[in-house]
Amino acid sequence: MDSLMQLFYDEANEMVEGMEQVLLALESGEPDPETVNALFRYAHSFKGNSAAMGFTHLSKFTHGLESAMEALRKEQRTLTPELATLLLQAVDMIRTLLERTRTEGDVGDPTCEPLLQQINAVINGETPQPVPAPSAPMPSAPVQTAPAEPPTTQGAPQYRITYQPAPTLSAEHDPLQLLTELQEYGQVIECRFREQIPPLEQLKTDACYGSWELLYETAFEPAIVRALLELAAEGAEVRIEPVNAAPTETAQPTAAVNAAAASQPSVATPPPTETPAAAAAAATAAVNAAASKGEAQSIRVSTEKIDALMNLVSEIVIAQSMLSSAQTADTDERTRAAITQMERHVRDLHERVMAIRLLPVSYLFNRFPRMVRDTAAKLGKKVNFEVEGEETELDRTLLEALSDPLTHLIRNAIDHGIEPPDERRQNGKPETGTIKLSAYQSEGRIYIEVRDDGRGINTERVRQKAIQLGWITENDHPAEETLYDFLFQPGFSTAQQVSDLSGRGVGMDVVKRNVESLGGSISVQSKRGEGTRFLLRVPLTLAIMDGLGLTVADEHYIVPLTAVVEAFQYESLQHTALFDQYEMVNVRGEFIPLVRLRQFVGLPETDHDGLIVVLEQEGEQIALLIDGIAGQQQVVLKSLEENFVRVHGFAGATILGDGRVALILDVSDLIRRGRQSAERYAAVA
Amino acid sequence: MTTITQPTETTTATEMNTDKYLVFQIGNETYGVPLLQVQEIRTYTPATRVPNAPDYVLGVINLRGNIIAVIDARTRFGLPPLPEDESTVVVVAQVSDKIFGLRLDSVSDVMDIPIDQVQPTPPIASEATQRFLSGVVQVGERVVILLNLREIFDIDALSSIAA
Repeated sequence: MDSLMQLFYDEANEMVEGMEQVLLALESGEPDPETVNALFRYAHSFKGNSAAMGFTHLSKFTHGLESAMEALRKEQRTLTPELATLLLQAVDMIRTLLERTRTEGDVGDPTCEPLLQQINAVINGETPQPVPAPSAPMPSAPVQTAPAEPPTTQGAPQYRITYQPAPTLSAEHDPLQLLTELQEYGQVIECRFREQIPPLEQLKTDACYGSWELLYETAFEPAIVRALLELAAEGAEVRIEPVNAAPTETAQPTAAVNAAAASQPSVATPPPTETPAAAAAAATAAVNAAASKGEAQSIRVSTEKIDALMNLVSEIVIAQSMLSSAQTADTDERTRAAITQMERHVRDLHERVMAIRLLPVSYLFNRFPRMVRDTAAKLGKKVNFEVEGEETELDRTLLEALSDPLTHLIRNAIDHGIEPPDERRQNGKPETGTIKLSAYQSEGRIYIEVRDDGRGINTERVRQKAIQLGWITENDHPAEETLYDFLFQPGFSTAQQVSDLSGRGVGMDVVKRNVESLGGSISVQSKRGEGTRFLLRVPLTLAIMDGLGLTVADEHYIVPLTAVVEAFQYESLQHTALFDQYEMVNVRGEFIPLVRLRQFVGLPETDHDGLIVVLEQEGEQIALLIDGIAGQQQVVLKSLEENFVRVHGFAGATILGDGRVALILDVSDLIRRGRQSAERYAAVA
Repeated sequence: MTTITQPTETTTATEMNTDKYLVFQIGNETYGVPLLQVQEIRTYTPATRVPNAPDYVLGVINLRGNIIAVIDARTRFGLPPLPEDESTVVVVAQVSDKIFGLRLDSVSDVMDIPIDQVQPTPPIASEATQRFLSGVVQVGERVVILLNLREIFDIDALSSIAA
């Protein structure tokens, strides 16, 4: 759960920085409409993310900011320096609010509203009132803001609650919901999160290493509180201890907890008899400990650095294999031992560095159940949210970049797709709609699907909207696919009213833009009354793939192992060719189109008997004739396009252990080649 | 594999406005490319052939984890290719944001080229090869033909390689 929070803060910080950069760039250059659009998108994403996390004040403020940007976009007004300053203040405000959510929970700032009003006033062309500037929320200021004094006015008994979820924290457990519920029965004065993360090699990806410590004030009996906690989290370990509401009590445990979080309990809890100097030192230690707690548990490293590291390690692996092969019978024992040891370390190093970039998609998917629940509740809809393929591993960059598109798609599915319960009942559907989010890897790509069983896309309404926008005329009746394409255009939205959740027409164009910037694509299928399916295809880029090495002549090609069905010796008896052209291979009575790899890569044919590798993709098979098999290996997919051009027939390239480059065959291209042959065959036969 | 330190400023010792160029021989002529575009010079390692690529594309190689194309300068200029030997090198250059390698028989020198004295290329070459040249300049006794790497790599014209 902490990873979710961390992801939110990481992203939030990135967005704040992004907004700031955009604004600062204005001061040194010409304002262009893209700047406003960018700000608008940031505000929009921010609003969505913070709403999903349940941070109402942040969400409200960014919603206001988004509306302001929308107005700015409509008015076509240029960003004056004065306005830019105000917007920068708004960015600072977001920072302040972010810091508050981190330290104090979901609290607002009284200067939010005046700031928004001022911005709106400027946008609407009014002279800015000399309203005293909002209490200048400097980026560093919030650190100094005193933590909210616990309102102990009720004088109700306080409890210190330790809540440790079961080691296998599953999706049904929702600590946040638990906290929300606690809040209904009393007041959570303090909420501390502690984590005890084991070293990487012992880390289980599905285990929970976090626990919460709450200072809770309630008039209810402890037994009721316990029941509440245990009901919400089966198998969780819950400890409830009454606390005497002495004023010093609140400060003291805080330091202890902070210190504990920094794993330095012995330093930070000095016995009271210590000398003043030692106490001061201890206090400093406690402050340091507190400071280190405030810092992120993970650090954000630019992928460029990781890529550079990755490439360097690949070079070391290659150098290592050269060194290993340079060993001869004369190599002395000590050198031999050193090489063997180094081999092992290099392999370890390689694996570790590879793993840095890969994360299971659950890291991303975990944030959606809550969002779905809240969104559905807000819209009065009933939604059953299903997730599949959470274990699919994906490059971290891709994962992060997919967050916004998926958020938009899922929100849209709830907002526009799933019908209200009574409408569903009338149409003979179950009241509860289903949204299914699934991920899988296939053909060297990652597929992510968002499917709902809602009302489907109303193509007529899309057409009307397009007419209204002047994109087509009354007489145009474009094909369904063209109409679907309109959905991804900037400024398009069929939602009747602007909601807090979706429907500003910003979502879908952001989705498309984001997915395409990843080198992916998005497609939509829809059936009126039955539902909509969005399919995102993204490349693996750095994802590791199991490959099978194939050889023809002295060349080496890789085919994804997932596509390989079987391999066997080619016998001419199996071969059928109609008119010497349409080649098929009889595999146990089934005719499969034959593709000759030599021909495919432009090499002359040979008389040698080769091997047949049967490849399959989406139910279609081809028999690929090759010279030999070079063995199975893990390969890292590299782009040919990055420094060269797209080469049809190949999905990319990889670097072999000896440093040479091998091209990776694109199975779908081979299948297409085979299909053409099969179609001609069928036509002639 | 030698890495060339990029000159941080042009030479101010002389009155002339000069730029550093990497010069090399192809056939009997001396050619030059701006040193600023050159990332490094590597010994030639066999490239992996890319099916259906134009003949001047020797293939792709691994440059510290990045896949880059290697272009044979001789083939590109319509000269018969030479078998590689110890002096065969690949000059790794960057044009736009793409990196590629140019295979040369050898590299000879880094030279200060007085850019004020660069003449437009006389229309001696065919129009096809004319675009690879950006000018000629006399330096002492040598005539140096300056190359336009962007045109030689010509990624835009290639756009994609069909199967």
